[in-house]
This record gives sequence, structure tokens and C-alpha cells, in this order.
Amino acid sequence: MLLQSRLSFTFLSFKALYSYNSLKLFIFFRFLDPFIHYLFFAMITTSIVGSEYLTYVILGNIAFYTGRELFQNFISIFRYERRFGTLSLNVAAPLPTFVILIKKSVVPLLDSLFIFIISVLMAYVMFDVSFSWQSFWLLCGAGVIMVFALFGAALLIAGISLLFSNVNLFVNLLFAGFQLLCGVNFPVSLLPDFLQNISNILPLTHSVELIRDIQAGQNERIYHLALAELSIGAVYFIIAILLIGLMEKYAKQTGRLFDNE
Amino acid sequence: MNILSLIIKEFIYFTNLNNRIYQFILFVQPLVLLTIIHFMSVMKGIEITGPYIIATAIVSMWSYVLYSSGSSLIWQKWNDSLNLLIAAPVSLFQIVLSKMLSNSLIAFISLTLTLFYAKIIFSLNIGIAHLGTFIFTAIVLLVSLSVVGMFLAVVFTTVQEVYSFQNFILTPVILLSGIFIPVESLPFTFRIISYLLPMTWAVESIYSGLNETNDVFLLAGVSLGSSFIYLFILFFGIRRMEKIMKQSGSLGVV
Amino acid sequence: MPVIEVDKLFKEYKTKNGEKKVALNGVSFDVHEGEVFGLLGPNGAGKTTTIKILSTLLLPTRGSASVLGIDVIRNGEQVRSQINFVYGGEKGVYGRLTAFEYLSYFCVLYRIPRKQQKLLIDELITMVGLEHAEGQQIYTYSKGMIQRLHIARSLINDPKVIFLDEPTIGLDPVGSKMLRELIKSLSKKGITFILTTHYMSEADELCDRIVFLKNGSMSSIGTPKQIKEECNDLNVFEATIQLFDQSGLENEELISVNDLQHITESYKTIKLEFKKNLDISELENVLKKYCQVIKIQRKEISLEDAYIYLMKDVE
Repeated sequence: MLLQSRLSFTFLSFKALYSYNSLKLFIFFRFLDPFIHYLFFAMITTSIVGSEYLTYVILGNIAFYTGRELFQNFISIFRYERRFGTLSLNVAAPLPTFVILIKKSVVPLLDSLFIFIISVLMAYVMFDVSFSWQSFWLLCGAGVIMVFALFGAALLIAGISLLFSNVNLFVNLLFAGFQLLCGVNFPVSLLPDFLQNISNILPLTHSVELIRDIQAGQNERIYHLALAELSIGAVYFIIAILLIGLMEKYAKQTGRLFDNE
Repeated sequence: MNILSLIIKEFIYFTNLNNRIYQFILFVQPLVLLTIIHFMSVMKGIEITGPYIIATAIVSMWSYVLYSSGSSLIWQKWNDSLNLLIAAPVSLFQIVLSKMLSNSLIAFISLTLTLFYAKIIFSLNIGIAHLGTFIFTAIVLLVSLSVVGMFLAVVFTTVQEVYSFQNFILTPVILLSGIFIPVESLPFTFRIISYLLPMTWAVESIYSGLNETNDVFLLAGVSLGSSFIYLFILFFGIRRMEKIMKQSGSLGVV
Repeated sequence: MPVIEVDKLFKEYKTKNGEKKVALNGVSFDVHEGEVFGLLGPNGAGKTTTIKILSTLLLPTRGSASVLGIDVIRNGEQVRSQINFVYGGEKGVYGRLTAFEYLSYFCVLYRIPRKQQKLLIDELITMVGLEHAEGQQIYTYSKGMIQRLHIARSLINDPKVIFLDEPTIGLDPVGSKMLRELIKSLSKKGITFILTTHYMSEADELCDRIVFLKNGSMSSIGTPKQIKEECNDLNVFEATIQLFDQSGLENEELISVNDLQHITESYKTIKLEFKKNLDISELENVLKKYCQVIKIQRKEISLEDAYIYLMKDVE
């Protein structure tokens, strides 16, 4: 529906800013790239701890990969806008920045959900991750919750990324942090206590557990986990909106930030 | 001695450790991977053994060679300095070789750093019985990495499409060269490709050294032999590339 | 009532090294409806800072500014729907969109009702002469076409005021002439333009009034004619000479050589300024001490001469 009209704002934002708008790139980055990511961790898992941990690690990495791509897409959108010199044109328009941001977020959110679903199917077909049909729909629901919960963090990270002239190290460190702290490849409970406290307030941690519980058919905690993840997501969303407001104010005072790279 | 002074100059002038991606690959990535395999082993209740630590190091070395060597020539092309290299009296082959050797030396830092992290941060027992053999096999690996780096540099420069997809080369090569999973367990067609990679033999030779089996030097020999065959092919390939570039004023080979 | 009122505007920055830099130092001016008003001065004089403040993208440190009677500092949001701006260069476009799509995108940002969008875009595209390329992706456009597209974008909300920051930078002569004609015809329709440019002939042709900014302060304001008249005590001459004593000419106290160009190995043209009010024959006599004078004439003062004269002490 949102992409129905070729002149809808969402479609135009997608066409203007999205890197994967050719079929070849789409196949490479939406099928092959996630597959290669899962293959790498499947390889390490099988080699070190054996294939009985494969499902555990693959499910963790599905959540991680989906989140990483969501963050990456938001970062690229913000940075492309600045590189193209269109960020200031958007900010200076009468439509409030918040509304523009929400409108522009539709495509990356849908894209991440797509990655999640494709990844779940890939896990089923290629990495022997088994689940029932009922679990599949629950997994899709978990995907929606996760993508919404990560939305705030993605906005926050993309906003912060504008402060860096070279974002690569920041982004890689951040992703490494998520990979180590959110229980992607091993349980959070193995981490030292102070790191566990950080894990519990990061988005993604609860989603990883939620996805594993659903796949294993253990539905006792799922509502609790979903609620926890959504609450954390809401807090990040509020922080992100406040930060973007502050950044807009800072940009207006200094003339920096929204200028071309 | 020209090539040696070129390597030294490459090392000093063109090693851009300010590059944020290189910083991550060299210093952070080994730590991240080690942390993952450390906690994975804790999860299972087993101890991490030497080959897994070395495997982690090889992954970082390979990542660095792929991203640095692979892109070294194409960057010069984009900066318009490739023409200057072509015009220099030293052959392009020598220049490319010195770049790759210099990159491999830096990749060696990554190896050392991984071992250091494993020992100091995770107190792991690396289990290198014969240090001399280990260093020898590591050098054999570096030679093979340099050759693969050179090959990638030429391919990326002539077929730029491949450059855009360099991420897709990283993991398959790790899989094929038997770093984590033995090559014997791969399907037959994959095994053929595996044995065509000089790295596969070097990796096997390192692991044989750690396991103190007898075929260390045989495997190292095969790796060195295949590296030199590739080097020989590359010598003619780069000469041809140089010629085409001089004739057409561009590198639009493909 | 003036359309734009700027009163004692100050803007101070801290540079990355922590040094304080004054970008605007008490600038005041008014602009009237339908005027093309030029902000001229060297790089760093405060032109873009002024435009950014007036277009609500930057807040001043002190002072006040209003556009159409609305305070840009307090009520920036209200101003935005009535103004628009164009920055020079090829940035500010989404290369993958077509001109039509690009303008549709900004229609949403400027809250143009959906039903009106198509008609409006068609009209704008025709106005800037891009109808032959409206379906092409913008990355295929020339610099001139991109600039015309920017003008079309800037007209999307039917603005009363348009800010143009070096709009003809990098354009070929045909492209910049086309753009100038467009600005002239729009200004006749009552749109007020604030223009910055480094091309003095362009400012002379387009601007009804000009302010010269120097190190953040105003150095002169008036019509191009008035500004040139301010420099009437400038005695600028142009001579074609065959020079035999260059150092003597350079050290001559009565004249100063502004510009020396080689025509051939031995013949040169010089632009020179007489420091006293002497006539042309007296100047010729002074020159003959150092060179053979082939031709000499008094030069009419251009805006460029006035600019060089007024800006000569800028660091």
C-alpha cells in the first residue's frame, strides 16, 4: 500500500536513497550476504562446539544480522542526505523533521522485516533449524516486535553517526558490542555481572531470547520478553527524538552537522 | 635490492593505520573473535585449543590482506596515481609484489596480536611445541597470502564489478582453505577449489606443525610451490596489464 | 514595509581549535518587495552566514532579523513556508530521481495538496525549460540543468522571498545567462531575491541594490550605480605600453599599477590608478619615463573595480 503510488514519499525516499535498488544488488545483499554471515558462524560453531549448538547460534545471528542491517540502513540514509547536500533542504522545509524521519523510516523498517523473514526461512532450509508453522507465525511476530524495538536505537545511532567524519570504526565497534553483549553466540549469563546489566538494557538481547524460546516451543516467557523488548525500544526512541531535536538546535547555533561532507 | 627498498618504502609511506577499517581488522577483530570462541567453549564446557586460536588469527590476517591488498591498485587508479606507477622504470610487477609483501608483514602483526590477546587476556594455552616450525609455517602462509593478495589486486583493478563484492570473497575463502573445517569434510567440487588455493596447504602445514605430525614440510613445500606457480602466472598477467594500459591509456581490460 | 529587515546582526563561532571567530559584526539592512538584493564580499565575509540566518538554518548570536514581518529567530517555522533557497553547485539533489520525482518529493515536504502537485510540477518544469528532460534521472543532468531544477524546487511553495547563494558557480556562460534571465523575470513578478555571487558583472546586471560585506561588517550599501560613484575619486586608466624600466614604474609615487598583462614578449597592457587628480596627458608624461605608450584611455569604473578598491585591505 505504502509503495503503491510511484510518487508516494516513501517510494521516492526509497528510490533516492536506498543502495539496493537493482535486482542484482538486491539478490546479493538480501540473500547472499545474510547467507554468508550465517555460514561463517555456522562454520565456527560446528568446528568449536559442534553442530548441536547450530540452531542456537544461527537464531542469535538472525536477530543480530537483522538489527545490524537496520542500523546500517539508517546510518546510510542520514549520511547520504548529508553527502548529497539534501539534509539541510529537508530540515529547512516546513514539514517537521520528526514527521520527515518517520516517513523515511518506513522502507528500512520493512526491509529489515523482510531480511528477518528470509533469514528464518534460510535457517530452516539450509541450517536445519526446525520449527512448526505456528512457531513460524510467532517468529514473524517476534520479528515485527524486534524491528520496532530497534527503531529507536537505529535513529539514535544514525544521529550520533553524523558527529563522526569517518563512521567506520564507530559502526564496527558498535556492531561488535552488540554481537558480544546481546547473547548472539553465547548466553548473556556467561558474561561478568556488570556486562550483564548493560546487556539487559540493550535492545536486541530480549529479542534474541524471544526468538530462541519461540523456536524451541517454550511459550511461557514470550509475552514477558516481548514487552521488555518493546519497553526498552520505547526508551531508546524517546532518547533518539530528544537527541535529534538537540542536534537540530546545535546545528542551528553552529552551522555545522547538516552541512555537506 | 630494489624490491627490498620498495617494500620498506611501502611499509613506511603507504601503510595507512589511520584507516578506520584497518584499525578494526588489525586490533579489534581478533579480540572480538577470540571472545566469541572463548565464551562458546565456556558454554559447552570445553577448553579452547591452539588450532582455534591460530584459526582466529588467520581469519584476521586474511581479512586484512583482502581489504588492503585487494584494493591497493584500484585505489591508485582512482587517485590517478596508477599512471605514474606504470610510467616508472621499475616494473609494475615489482611494485605490486612489494605492496603485497608489505601488507603481509602487517598481517603478521595481527597474528602476533591474536596470540598476545589469547595469552594475556584469556590465559589460553596456545600450545606451540616448536616455535621455529611455527614461524616457518607462518611465513609460508604469508607468502601464500601475498600471492592471493596480488591476484585480487589485479582482478579488482581489471574487473571492477568484483571489487564491489569483495565481502562475498571473505567467508567462502575461509571455508575453502580449511581454517575452521577440514577440507576433507567439504563436498568434492569444493575440495578441488580448496586444493587450488595455496593458502589451504599453508594452513594445513601450520596445523600439522601444531599437531607435531610429519608432513609439515611437505605441505609447506606444496604451498610454496603453488605460490610460485601463481607468482609466475601473475608476472605475465601484470606485464600484459601494463602493456594494455600503455596501449589503450586505460585498464578497460574486461 | 520592507520584506526583510536585518538589525545589528552578530554571529560568533568557535572554530575547531577553540578560537572565537566573528562571522557577522553588526550587519543591518532592509530589502523591499521585488528587489534583487546582492550580498557581495570575499570568502568568509559573512554572506552565507547572513543567508543561513535569514533562511532559518542558523541562529544569530545577537541582533534581530525578520522576513515578511515574521521574526526568523523566534518563529522560524512560520517563515519557512514563505521562503525558499538555492545553493550553488551540484549538491542538493537525489541523483537517482527524475526531475518530476524530485519535485514531487519536495511537494510533500512543503505540504502541497496532492491534487495540485502534478499541475504545479508541470508548470515549474516548463518555466525552467526542463520539459525535455523531466523523465531523466538527475545524475544525467548538466550543472546548468541541476541549477534550473533547483530554481524550480525553490518555487514549489510560491515563495515571496528566495535566497540564492552563488547560484551560477561552475555554470557555463549560456547556463548562467539562462539563469539570470529566469531570476529577472521572476523578480518582475514580485518575488524578492537575496543573491550572493563572486561575479561582479552578474551582480551589476541583476541587483537593484548591493551591500558589500567585509570581515563580517558592512562596507557599503546602495545601487550598483551609487557604489560605483562612491569610487569616483578612483582614477583608473588602461594603457598599452612597451616597458623598458619595470622597477621604475613600480616605484613611481604618482601611480599604482593594479594589473599587468603580457600581450606579447615586449607589449603589455596595464591597468593603473592615478593617485592625484591629473588629466590623461599628464599621466602619459609620467609613464613615458618608464615605457613607450602605445595607447591610453580612462576606464569607466566597473563594479569589479569598486569591489577591488573597497576590499583592498581584506586579509
